[in-house]
Amino acid sequence: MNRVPSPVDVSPDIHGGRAKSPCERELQARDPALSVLPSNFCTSDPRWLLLDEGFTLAREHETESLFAIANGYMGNRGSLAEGSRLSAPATFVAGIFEQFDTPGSVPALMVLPDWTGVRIWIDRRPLTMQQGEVLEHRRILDFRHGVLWREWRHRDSDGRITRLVTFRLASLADRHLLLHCVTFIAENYNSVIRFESSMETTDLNVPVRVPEWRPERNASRPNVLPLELEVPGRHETVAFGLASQLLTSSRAAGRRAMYKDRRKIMEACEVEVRAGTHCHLHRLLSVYTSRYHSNPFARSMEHVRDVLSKGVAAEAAAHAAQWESRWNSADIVVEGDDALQRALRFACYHLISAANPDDGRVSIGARTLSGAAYKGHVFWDTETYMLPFFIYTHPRSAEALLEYRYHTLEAARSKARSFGFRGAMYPWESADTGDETTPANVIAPNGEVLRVLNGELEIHITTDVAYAVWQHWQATGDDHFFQRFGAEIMLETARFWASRGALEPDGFYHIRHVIGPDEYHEDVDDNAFTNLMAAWNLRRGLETAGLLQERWPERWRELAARLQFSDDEVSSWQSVAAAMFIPFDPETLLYEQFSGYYRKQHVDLKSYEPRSAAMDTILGHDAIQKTDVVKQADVVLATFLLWDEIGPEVRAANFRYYEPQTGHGSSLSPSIHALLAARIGDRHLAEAYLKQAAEIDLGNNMGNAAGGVHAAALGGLWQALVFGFAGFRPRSEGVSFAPALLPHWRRLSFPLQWRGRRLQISMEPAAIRVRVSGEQPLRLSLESSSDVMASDGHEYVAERTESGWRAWQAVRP
Amino acid sequence: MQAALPDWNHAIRGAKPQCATAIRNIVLPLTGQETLPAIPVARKLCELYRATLHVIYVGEGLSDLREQPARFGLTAEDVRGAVFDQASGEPPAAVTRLARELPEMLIVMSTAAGQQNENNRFGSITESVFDAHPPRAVLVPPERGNVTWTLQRILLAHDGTPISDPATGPAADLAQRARAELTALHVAARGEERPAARGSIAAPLYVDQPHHEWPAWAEEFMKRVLAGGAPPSSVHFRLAVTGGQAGSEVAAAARERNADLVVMAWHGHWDHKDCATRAVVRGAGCPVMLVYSAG
Repeated sequence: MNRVPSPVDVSPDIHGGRAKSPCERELQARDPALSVLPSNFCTSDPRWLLLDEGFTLAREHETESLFAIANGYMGNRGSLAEGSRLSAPATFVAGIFEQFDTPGSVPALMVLPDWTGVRIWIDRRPLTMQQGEVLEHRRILDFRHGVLWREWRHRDSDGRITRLVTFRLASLADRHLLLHCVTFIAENYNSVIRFESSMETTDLNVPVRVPEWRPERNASRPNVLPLELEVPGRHETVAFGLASQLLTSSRAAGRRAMYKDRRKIMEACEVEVRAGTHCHLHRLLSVYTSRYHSNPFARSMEHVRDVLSKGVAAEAAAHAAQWESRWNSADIVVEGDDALQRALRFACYHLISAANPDDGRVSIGARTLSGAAYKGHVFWDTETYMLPFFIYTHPRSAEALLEYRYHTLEAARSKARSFGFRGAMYPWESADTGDETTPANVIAPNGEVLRVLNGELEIHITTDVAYAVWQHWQATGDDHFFQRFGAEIMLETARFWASRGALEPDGFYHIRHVIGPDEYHEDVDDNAFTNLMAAWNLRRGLETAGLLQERWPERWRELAARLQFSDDEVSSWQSVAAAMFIPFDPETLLYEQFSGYYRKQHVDLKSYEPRSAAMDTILGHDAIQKTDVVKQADVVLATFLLWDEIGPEVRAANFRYYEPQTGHGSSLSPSIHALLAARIGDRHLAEAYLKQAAEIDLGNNMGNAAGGVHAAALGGLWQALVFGFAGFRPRSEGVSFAPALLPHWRRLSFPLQWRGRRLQISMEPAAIRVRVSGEQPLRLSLESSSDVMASDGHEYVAERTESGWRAWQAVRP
Repeated sequence: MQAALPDWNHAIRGAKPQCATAIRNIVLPLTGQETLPAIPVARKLCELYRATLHVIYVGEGLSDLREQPARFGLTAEDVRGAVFDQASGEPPAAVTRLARELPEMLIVMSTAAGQQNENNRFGSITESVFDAHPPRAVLVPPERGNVTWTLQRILLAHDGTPISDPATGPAADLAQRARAELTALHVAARGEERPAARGSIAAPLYVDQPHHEWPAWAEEFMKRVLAGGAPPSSVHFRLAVTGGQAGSEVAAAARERNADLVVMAWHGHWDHKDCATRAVVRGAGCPVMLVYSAG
């Protein structure tokens, strides 16, 4: 009878699609007296679900990442409540980084105590997948409602069959609240069941405070268990309040007991159940930190009591309503490709989960709050790859992310000064303070210790931040935000570029010793991406100064006085930008990626296909620098970001030249190539890259989502659809589209926000429809077709003909 | 209300699958002078496992071997405590029969046992013995000679798929017994698709930031490997990654690192072109332990 679950036992697979058995989650709704869920809380639409059927131990870390729940303030990995040999349960709070006083240590997103532990004993035997027989097991991530479900049906060695249905959520309506509900059903036996709910910190380096606290003696009122930690290396504390509430359909009263030591608190409840009895264990966790609250311990305890008085059901309903609202402004629908549809919702789910619109002092790490990889550090990934999603679907979240760069400006200035430059030099990696957090060294796969140069040389992040600020302003028209937060970034980054390079005897301004987005080539001169974007940054800095002087002179005077900007300095940016060395050949229409790129040894990447690893792993770190293999979109990315400044022939020529030389050794690369291929009309390449981008986390054999999801790739996927296949481009008076749907798509639709207007776009092979709401009209454009001024409450339709598009027609919705 | 915490994990630990690493019997087929280099390896492994040596003699004069081992190039020490068995019938069948009868058995034999084949094949007896898919066997190259064998460095070749997992436990167990250094080697392959088996962890296709990705990947790789084989924590376990063709890279790494033993899983077939297993056995320059893994 004893059987350890293995891949062959339960046909595991991660996919969308409905569970093979009836939806057990409905059990929650069938018991209205005990259920905490609104009646419409479950969805069985496979396009809204990620399903992990069975259990594969080796994939557990990946599964935990993919099934993580988060709300921008907190994140919680989708670990098994009872644990397994590979379980790595983790809860994170955005902005809470620990730093130990050891050589080479950099801040790392702190793993908080595991609060998800629920252990169940049936007649003093633990319920575990390692003993007995797993009859059914699945984890289901419901994107629509932001809920992680688990269904487990188990037969122990004595034949007792138990069914468990659990759900977990990080409230989007109340960001300090995590909720975990367990429904236990003894199918065919009577027994004494013991539930143990615990919260435990296993890191002995973390100082624990033991708050003054006494358990409640009243069995009808749940205890609120406290725990408070000091954050190593920071003058901060994190406080937790955890309550557990056990309800049974038989109304049986359980016996409760508390266990507590310095690093663990546990509440146990024993209850006698009969066959068919439903037991519901509701667990609420409130988390507050001293970053924003003077007494986080008191606040967390009070918060849990508030939630208990309002009722868990009300909290769950508010959470579901918030997700509904976010999806209304973010959901992309692709009819005709269910796998892509699921990947897109997976992407949007994790992006929405990652951002906190209420906190401008944190940003999104490369692996969001779904894992500890990359130490929670923030890269250009946020501004270049994720931010557009927020700009066009939830501008307030975008503002919060940009505010983080504003609040860390002083650290960026400090970094610039430390290198002998002026202005703001943003860190390649940053955490809570905005200081540079890139590690100094790394041990390579062959054991060699390598110096990490990115913190010093990968300086394009400075212009990436500026570009994001400008993009946000152009898309939202939010003048207040721009002059209050954005303008200072634009000016200080321009100032940096005017000091980073030098005007040389050849009459050009050169920026030497850099790493471009193509990180296979370190310490190069005049990287085309960097120089193009730096020149753009200088011009926009100049434009910003002019705008401030003209429209917000008081703000300009304040900034000019505080930052000591002179008219001469600002006007010099024009000449620096004009003299910027751009390695462009008008004959070939190509940008040389950096000085000397053409002299690199040519590698025919096709001869390495198929391959199972990145090219730098196959060739080696030093060897690949001598080749012309490009890691990721570099020049190609510049042609997208500076679309209106680079002609169509140049864009196409560079894509055709660099695409075959790109090894896509970064998860940031496929989506941008899908986007560009769609825009230049290469449907075959666009489809291939889109598929590759969609599978970065969801492909079953990638193996590198164990430390968290690839947030930039998720943002890139959204951009590939919206900017690439839909051909969306913001313009000065409105927006334009150039649909490039794949043949098997029946419809592509999505919402967008632009300067206060809300648009719902629906593209079909033969027509495009745009519904507009918002007080001011905007200009709608379509490739090689006439424009129309679109006004509030109308829907506009353009039909495709053999030769192009008919003019827009206005119809009432 | 306060009490000691119940030890939940004790119950979990008790339920962990135990890896089959114990060896009680070592089978050594002797067919002639070319097989003598396997003897020091078999003797050392007997010592490490505290196992019984079973010498299968293929040919006439078993009593001479027992009583006058020097006539066969053996010392009395070589065969001390050994159980002798004379093969009757076809030698491979005899080896296979005995191997089936003995519990917790390991075959140690030369790659050159039997008639020498052309091309890339091993000796005819070696080939036939492996046709029966012994669960665990050590192949010894004849060129190492009949010299003392020590075990200080073990190279575990792991392709990142669950098929390789069965090799982990034996490698770790042996490393602990010999107090040897254990290095897990993963080859990022060129010209091969990513493994499709669920739970595989090949070298990453995306290395966004090497200084974060490699330590994280190495940790994940090792955790999965450890979970698959449960080696004792005292073993010094390193991970190395190279790029290229799997067989030749493992063989080259074994030579460069002066490995005393390569341990790898074996799918049970090696007649296909560019077979990595043959390339390792041919090129490693040291004995190779093959752990049969049906996959």
